[in-house]
Amino acid sequence: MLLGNAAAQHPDSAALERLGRWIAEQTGATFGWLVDGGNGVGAQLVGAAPQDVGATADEMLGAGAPLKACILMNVEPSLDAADPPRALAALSGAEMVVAMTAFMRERRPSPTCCCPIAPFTETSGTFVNAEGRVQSMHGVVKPRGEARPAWKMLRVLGNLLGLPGFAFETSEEVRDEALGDVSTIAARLAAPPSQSPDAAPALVPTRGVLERIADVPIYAGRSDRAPRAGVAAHRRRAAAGRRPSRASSPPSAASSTARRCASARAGRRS
Amino acid sequence: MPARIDPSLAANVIRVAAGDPHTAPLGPMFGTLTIEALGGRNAAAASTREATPS
Repeated sequence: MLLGNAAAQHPDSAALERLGRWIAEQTGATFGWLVDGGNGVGAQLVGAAPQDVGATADEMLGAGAPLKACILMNVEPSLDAADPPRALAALSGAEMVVAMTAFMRERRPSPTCCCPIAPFTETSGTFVNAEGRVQSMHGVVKPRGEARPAWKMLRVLGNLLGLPGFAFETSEEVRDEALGDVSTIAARLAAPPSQSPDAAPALVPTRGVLERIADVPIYAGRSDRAPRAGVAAHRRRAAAGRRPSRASSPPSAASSTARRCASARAGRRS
Repeated sequence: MPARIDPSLAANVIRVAAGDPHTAPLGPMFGTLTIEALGGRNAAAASTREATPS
């Protein structure tokens, strides 16, 4: 039994998982996730989620106190957030928003300072796919203009803040530190024992009203921003007779991003 | 947006894709959907109220 990205994004995702695990257990099946995003499993492996401290994205973008500062790394809130209008409103109320992005033509809260990062084609790195397979790659071209790999920007930020654990020289060092012994990944990804069936809460259907469910189609959403903003997607939409939106416009060069950041540094609104 | 009947969905359920600039203004990915006429014969507005976790 595989649950997909719509189940993962649902507010009752935890309940759906418990039900799915229970059904799999009762039928002798194996339970797993096919999540959206090219590196969702890798993010889980390295603990890119609130642990003992920290807040979830929902909490950060909720109706709580306004954010003081926010760093967006390869995130387009107007499309990537589960509730884009709420996310944009929350970010617009922040004192400072820094967007690490490879694409300039995307809707973002204003004012935002943009730092040009290299897309995955221009940097080395590692993905972990849905079955836990570690896949490292090399950058096939050099980053354009002042663009830099995102991990290098985070390293410098850590250095400037005087934080320990940021003394990396290569992406391979980052990978080794983050993933540890790759031979144990399968065990680390193994599904935990199912909870008892009685613990699975009932999902109460709504009656008499229309209920929206949503998935994130491939090439459209969180799965990969490159095809979403890329020239091919732009041409496909144009061929289909749809007016290209700002978010679906072709990406500008990273050098253009650098120029915009230089303007921001000079005091003009980016 | 074009609409069509999907027999694979439960009754009263509408699947509206997320991650699309045309559907992003609807708000939450899951929840009650209300539809109201804008005045034009084929025009309609929709919005989503956030789903209440059960």
